Amino acid sequence: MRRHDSRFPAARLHATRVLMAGVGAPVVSGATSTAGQFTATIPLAVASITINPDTGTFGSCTGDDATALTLPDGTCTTNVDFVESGSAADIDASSTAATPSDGGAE
Amino acid sequence: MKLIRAVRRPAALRVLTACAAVALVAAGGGASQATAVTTTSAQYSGTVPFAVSSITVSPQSGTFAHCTGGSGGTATTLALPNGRCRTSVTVTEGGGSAYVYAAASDATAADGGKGWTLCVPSTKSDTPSCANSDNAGVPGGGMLPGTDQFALQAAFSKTTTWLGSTNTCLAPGSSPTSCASLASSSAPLNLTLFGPSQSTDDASSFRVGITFTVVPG
Repeated sequence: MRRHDSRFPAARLHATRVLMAGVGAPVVSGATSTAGQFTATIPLAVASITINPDTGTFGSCTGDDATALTLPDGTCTTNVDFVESGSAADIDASSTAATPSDGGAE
Repeated sequence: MKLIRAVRRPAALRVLTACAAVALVAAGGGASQATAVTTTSAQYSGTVPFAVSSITVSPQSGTFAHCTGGSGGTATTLALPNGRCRTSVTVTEGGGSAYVYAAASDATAADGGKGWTLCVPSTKSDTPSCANSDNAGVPGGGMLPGTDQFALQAAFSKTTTWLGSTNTCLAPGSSPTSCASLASSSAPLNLTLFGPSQSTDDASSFRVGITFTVVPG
């Protein structure tokens, strides 16, 4: 009976060694591992832009009449103020084609 | 009846019986019955009860806040470039000592547009390095996130770690490559998000997931 009892501690010691071998290399592969999930929202500061005025008329034109575009290749200018607020932002601009007031060809 | 009793004997006892038979043979076979056992082997199989570790994360969803840095943000909104926000989650590990790991996902844009890629300011094999050469104020040194990048720093159990896209040990051991086992406990995990230098997508919010894994040990 004593020899019988002495065998079990040896078996347990062996099992412990196996477990410690797994502990030494903390690889995430244990069948008993469990996992939890956390998700978080990141609200972003919003950038906005305000244009003033939102309509205008070109002026300061080259040529004899400062209020009318002359051809060929005359130039006119206009100014608009814009205010960017909120988060830092890149400001891009684009233009449409010019439409004639009589509905003709652009 | 004798057969039934033999079957019911513990496995270890059967091992001893087999060993005893072998011993008789080795002694010269003084008993004629022992000559029938010319060779023998015995096998012991034992079950090792294993503590099942578990991890509980509370809450399971949240919102980053306490924002600073960048330009034009508020306390509740992340500003660019490279603003940072914080949130906290309680991680409870139960069932015995265990290693606790965390991994973060990329951030998805709420409008389905281009998301942000997780990066680390320093070098980490499983995660891209952050790319903003303007690296002022990075804890521990390294780069801040570049365009469409973000970084997540986790503070847990007095240790601060940059999270990667695969499991990162939340309680590093004494050497950089080792992981410390934690006893069953509940502790807050503070997460600090470092935003990108620029965002291609103009969604009003992004979302990131963090997976926690516990391995008994």
